[in-house]
Amino acid sequence: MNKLHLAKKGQAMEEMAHIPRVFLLVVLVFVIYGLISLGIKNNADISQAESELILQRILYSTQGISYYDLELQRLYPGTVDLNKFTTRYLESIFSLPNEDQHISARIELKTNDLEIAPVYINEEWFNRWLPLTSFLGKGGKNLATETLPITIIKDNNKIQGILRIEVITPR
Amino acid sequence: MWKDKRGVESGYFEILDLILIMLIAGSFSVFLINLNSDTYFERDFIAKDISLFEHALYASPGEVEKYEYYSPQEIVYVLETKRTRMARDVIDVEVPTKKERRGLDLSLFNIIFTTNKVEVAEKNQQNGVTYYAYNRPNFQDQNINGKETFTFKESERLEIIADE
Repeated sequence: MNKLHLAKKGQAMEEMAHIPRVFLLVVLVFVIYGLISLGIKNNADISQAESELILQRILYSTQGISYYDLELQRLYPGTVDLNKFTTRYLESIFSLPNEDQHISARIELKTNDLEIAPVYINEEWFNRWLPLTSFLGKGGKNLATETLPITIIKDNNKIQGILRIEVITPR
Repeated sequence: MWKDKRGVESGYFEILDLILIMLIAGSFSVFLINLNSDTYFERDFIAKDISLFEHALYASPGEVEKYEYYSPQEIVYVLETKRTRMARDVIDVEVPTKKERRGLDLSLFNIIFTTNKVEVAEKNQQNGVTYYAYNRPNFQDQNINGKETFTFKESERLEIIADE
């Protein structure tokens, strides 16, 4: 009789010992699932290629800022048509939706004779993202920069200058 | 359930352990099977590839008369070693016996082109994977459903034509 009573108490202790085992098992399952998920990558990072292509599109597209002769139907790379050098025109190249938060760019022209203000695509987000371009990882931003000597065409006059384009895209 | 010599019942927690193991093994198996059959990566890849491609077409300094878009595939030849006679010698030669196509199959997906988005969905799926597109305002929305290839054309505006 006494033995049976003691045996029942021993059984209760055994039952309680299973509770931390189940808890540990659940934790282990989540850890294994997390480790497997970390190893799975189902996203292709194209931010660098995208920012380069956007830069090319601004520079070399027939609708870009380069001078395009309508009669000859020829683009002159290395020249910039100053009539197209406005924020409104630049944003019309891409047909940005309202409050777009994907691409932003800044274009600066420097010459000895003229003072030209920089133009932007998504100016607000460009200024917000510029400090983040020095961070690596998913929270950082990709910056593609191109600086080149160009000829500015203004009212059939040609002026030498330096063009600097910066395009920022998120990772 | 069962009683040992001391009359101590046991067996409940062992059964519970077994059930837990089966549940965990079953859920991991389901997870792996779903992972294997999931096409999220393929759809994401196609959406981004098409988005970059549209940028590249717009960036061209002239018109693009025709560019056929097809999914990247590789043809793999499976080699088998066969013994053959050459002159007086018997030599082992590797011969292709089977040809396999590996890669993405565009005909499995429906692609929706709009001015600001490219969406790639499986057939009979309502929402797919979308990525940004920056087409010009004169772009006309287009759907390409289950085609292996389609053609891009860029003159006054970007056009996408499904190949028959």
